[in-house]
Amino acid sequence: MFDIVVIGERCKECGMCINVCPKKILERGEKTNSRGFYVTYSPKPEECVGCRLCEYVCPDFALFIRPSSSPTYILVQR
Amino acid sequence: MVETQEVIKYPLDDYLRTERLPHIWCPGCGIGMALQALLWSIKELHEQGVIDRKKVCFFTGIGCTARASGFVKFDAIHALHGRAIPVATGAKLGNPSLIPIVFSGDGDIAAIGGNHLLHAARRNFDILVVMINNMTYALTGGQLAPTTPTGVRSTTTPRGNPENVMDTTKFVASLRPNFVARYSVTQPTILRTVFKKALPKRGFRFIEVMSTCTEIFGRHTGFRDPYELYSRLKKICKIKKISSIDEIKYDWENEITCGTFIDKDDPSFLDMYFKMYKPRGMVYGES
Ligand SMILES: Cc1ncc(C[n+]2csc(CCOP(=O)(O)OP(=O)(O)O)c2C)c(N)n1
Ligand code: SF4
Ligand code: SF4
Repeated sequence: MFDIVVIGERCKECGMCINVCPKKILERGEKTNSRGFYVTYSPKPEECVGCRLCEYVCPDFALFIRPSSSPTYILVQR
Repeated sequence: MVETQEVIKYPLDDYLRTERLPHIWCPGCGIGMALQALLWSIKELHEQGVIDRKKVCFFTGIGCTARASGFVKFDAIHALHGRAIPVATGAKLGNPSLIPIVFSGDGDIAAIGGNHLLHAARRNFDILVVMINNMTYALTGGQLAPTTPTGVRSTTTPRGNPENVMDTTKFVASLRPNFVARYSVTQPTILRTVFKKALPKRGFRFIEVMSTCTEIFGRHTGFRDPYELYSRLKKICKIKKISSIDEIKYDWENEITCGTFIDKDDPSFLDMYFKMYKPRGMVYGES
């Protein structure tokens, strides 16, 4: 099981992670960061298989996957 | 969902000048994907004790790609356009214990810097060159590059490119340096492994990374969405084992052949130089 961690201020809403996810569990969030981008969100982190494709294609060092005992979508706000 | 102000570090944050992020690259640009793979390879090699990250230094020319020198946490030089290779060469000669990495665009390395590329490869000089090939001069708005596929539109060839294209990997391979490979940002884990292989080697190592420039190249070629351009690149970047370098293709319509085409361990420039000249006060390979 995995946490999906997104550093909100780095996201540029390119949508790469959303498109590559084989489980289709990522989506454009409803919250914007200070630059006005809608930050990637996951409503179902418990379905993540940890393939990390989303992490590899994120050009902005904004999203990563880490092992977790209680799968959570974490939005880091800094 | 958890929202937190707590500082959760991105795994590569120690290798990035995080205060400068977000970087300047457009949404979905492939340069960041390639840089991520490269930083992972450095991190893993450092943690395995194969290289010392403090010895790594970055050399870039001018271009979108070249802006990487401002985002990585290494000593870095953002050199003149096309001149990253000679600057890296000078650094390595001055201090042979350094691990210079040249990270720059196709325009920078293959076009204006082509002569430096030629001679560094010919000398089998001890640097790693990573050429990010987005097939255009992106920073300046999408002029024709020698790597722009024939027929493709650019700002300076509005009816399509009438020129023959340059296959930089084939060109460098003809000079027989120690390592020549071409991969794509659509092969991120392989890319990481290949960087890990090439980094600790001696001699000249050249890795061409096919990349996506959605904003300029994509717009001219009808792939306005980053994922569409990425998918197109993924389709044509085919990894193959070849028996002769003449077999590799650089064809935007069908196939851009990927793979490791040369991997040998001949004496490098510095090996030869230290053997023949025995420079006083300098020890090659030791810090
Ligand atoms: C001597 C000199 N000539 C021309 C330029 C203008 N110039 C800046 S970047 C660039 C091309 C960059 O293309 P590339 O190396 O492919 O990098 P990219 O932006 O595609 O990553 C050019 C022609 C310059 N800065 N200096
Ligand atoms: S790790 Fe794989 S399954 Fe999990 S969110 Fe990322 S792409 Fe989807
Ligand atoms: S112009 Fe192209 S290469 Fe430059 S940052 Fe934007 S997408 Fe990347």
